[in-house]
Amino acid sequence: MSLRETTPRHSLRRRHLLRLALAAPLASSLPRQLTAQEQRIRLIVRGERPLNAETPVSVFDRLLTPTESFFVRSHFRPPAVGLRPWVVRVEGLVERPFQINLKELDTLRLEPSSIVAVLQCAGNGRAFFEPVVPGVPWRKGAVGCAEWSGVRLADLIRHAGLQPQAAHVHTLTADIPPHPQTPPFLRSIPLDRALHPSTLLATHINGEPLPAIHGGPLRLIVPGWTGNHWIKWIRGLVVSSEEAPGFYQQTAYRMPLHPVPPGTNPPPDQLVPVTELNIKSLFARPEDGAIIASGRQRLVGAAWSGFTPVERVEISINRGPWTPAQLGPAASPFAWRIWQHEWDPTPGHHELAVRATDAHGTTQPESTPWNKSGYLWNGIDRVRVEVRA
Amino acid sequence: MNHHPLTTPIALTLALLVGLFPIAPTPAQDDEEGERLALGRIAFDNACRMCHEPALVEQQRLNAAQWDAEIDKMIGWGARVAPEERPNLHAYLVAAFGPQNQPALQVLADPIPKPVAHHLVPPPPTASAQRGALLYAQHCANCHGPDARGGDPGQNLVDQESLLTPEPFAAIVANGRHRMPAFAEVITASASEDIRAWLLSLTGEPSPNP
Ligand code: HEC
Ligand code: HEC
Repeated sequence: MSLRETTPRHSLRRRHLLRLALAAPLASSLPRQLTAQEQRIRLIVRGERPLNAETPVSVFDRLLTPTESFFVRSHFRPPAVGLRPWVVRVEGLVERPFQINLKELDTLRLEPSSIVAVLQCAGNGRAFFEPVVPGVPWRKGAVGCAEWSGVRLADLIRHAGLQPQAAHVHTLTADIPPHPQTPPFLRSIPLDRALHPSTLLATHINGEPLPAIHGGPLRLIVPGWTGNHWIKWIRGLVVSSEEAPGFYQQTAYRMPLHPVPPGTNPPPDQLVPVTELNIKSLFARPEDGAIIASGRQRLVGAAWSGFTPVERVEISINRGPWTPAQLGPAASPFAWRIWQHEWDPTPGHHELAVRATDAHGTTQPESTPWNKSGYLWNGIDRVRVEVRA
Repeated sequence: MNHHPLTTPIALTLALLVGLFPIAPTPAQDDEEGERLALGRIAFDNACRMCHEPALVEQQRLNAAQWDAEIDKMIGWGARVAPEERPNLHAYLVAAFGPQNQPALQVLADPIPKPVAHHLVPPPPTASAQRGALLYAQHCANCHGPDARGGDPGQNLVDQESLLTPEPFAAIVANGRHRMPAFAEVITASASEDIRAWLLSLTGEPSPNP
């Protein structure tokens, strides 16, 4: 799917939705009892303002997570978008620094690019670590898979021309810290990752213009890497010989190189940046705690990894042997794969488990080695269900 | 547009109550302890709700040492906690959001909003950013900072959703909130539009790259 093909159809839909949203203001809708169906698709709130909210797992039964159900991660309050033209600067160790109004991006004649890729917060599953760690207590839903479209970051940087000492690309964003003492969300990615053909500056998600809440009008897409690299509200790219300074690059998003005893934190020289996603799978159906009618069931879910592809997904019923599930197609090297498995249960209580293994033979562990900030949880997903005759 | 950014971007619905949710201090047998926790909640509302609304904090399950470290971190980031309120605040956080905490499940009442750009209701042509700058310097700068990027105690006001509409901006200026005093006696609705016009003229330049 190219940017051009999908834009018109979806932007009509978007305008329609926008009208609806304006006609029925969100904040004035009265709290009411939600139907069971609505509860399943409503995002689970982890913080109201700024908004942090996760997707209910039932949505993970399909390749593309609908934009309205996509999880939201915000560090600071989002910037007001649209008050003035969105100008992006490219500067630092480049031959020809420039700035461009996003509306005129076309004039650079960069080739449009799209990729289906998993976006997962580094802290997805943080709530499962014992002992408990501080931070947004995500459970399963700070992940989703979408089609991201825009231009390659490499093309934009090469347009400015790299100087020989170039080694990192810093991302300047439009969200302002609440207080001068709060560190800005300043991050960088290494140059080779910036130049990788999968790394995009996206203006669209699932064929629609990227909503402000998801980092529109311009968001960095770093397939295979954790969400802390997928910077929202990009205003500037600064090529540098060094990593970005400051809390969010130098202190946050680091974890022990080797597992440590729970509750301990090794010295900084034994910490490495969190980058690549690890092998992981989840159930979409049935949900934990579900009561289901007896008869043949189809277990469904998603499995994903970073750069090493998912090779197999297996199911275990009541701690019995692992049996292969059926894996759906890989829409791209960075998309998740939907898996399914037929199950003929007897009435009673059952525990179902799913685990994925990548092409290097790495399998999900029972639980992920503890780390102080609760990153990269990929413990085996288990759900308990009751089957009624 | 009735999208009220100051209340919450999206209406929240409490869908399910899972277990106990000790958001308010439980009636303590010990009156002194009860009072301590009540004072702790007041300190929490004053010192901890400026930059994030409470759900982020209320869903934590941290022990006493972790809460101590968290308070230190937040003070370092610009939270103002007076030395005398700290013990109450700490006691409250540990009692309410300790390891035993079982937060309620909150779900969004509405789907995620999809606007690509925010909708601005500009101040009327009679509003003057110049007058606004003077009013701001006189009444607001000592807390929100001379450049409105945040100060003590007040958060950044530049490029915020709270500037998009006359209300609820005027309401918070008139009524105050937590440590923000009420200005109803001093600042009229049209003066509030002057201030909004000035704040809208400030641009959030990219974070400086040291
Ligand atoms: C000056 C602004 C500000 C104030 C005031 C403030 N915080 Fe925060 N706090 C933040 C920011 C910014 C984050 C989140 C950063 C992120 O998500 O990366 C945060 C995150 C947190 C977290 C999540 C864990 C973490 O460290 O990221 C907790 C818990 C928390 N704050 C507690 C408090 C408490 C308790 C108070 C009152 C003493 C408080 N905050 C006051 C800015 C503030
Ligand atoms: C004594 C310090 C103080 C002064 C003076 C002050 N403020 Fe505030 N203001 C605050 C604090 C503290 C908050 C955060 C309140 C909370 O939610 O806990 C705040 C919040 C706000 C907000 C809400 C921002 C948002 O997005 O939620 C606005 C708008 C605001 N102030 C505008 C003003 C204006 C305009 C003036 C001058 C007329 C002013 N303030 C004067 C301390 C102050």
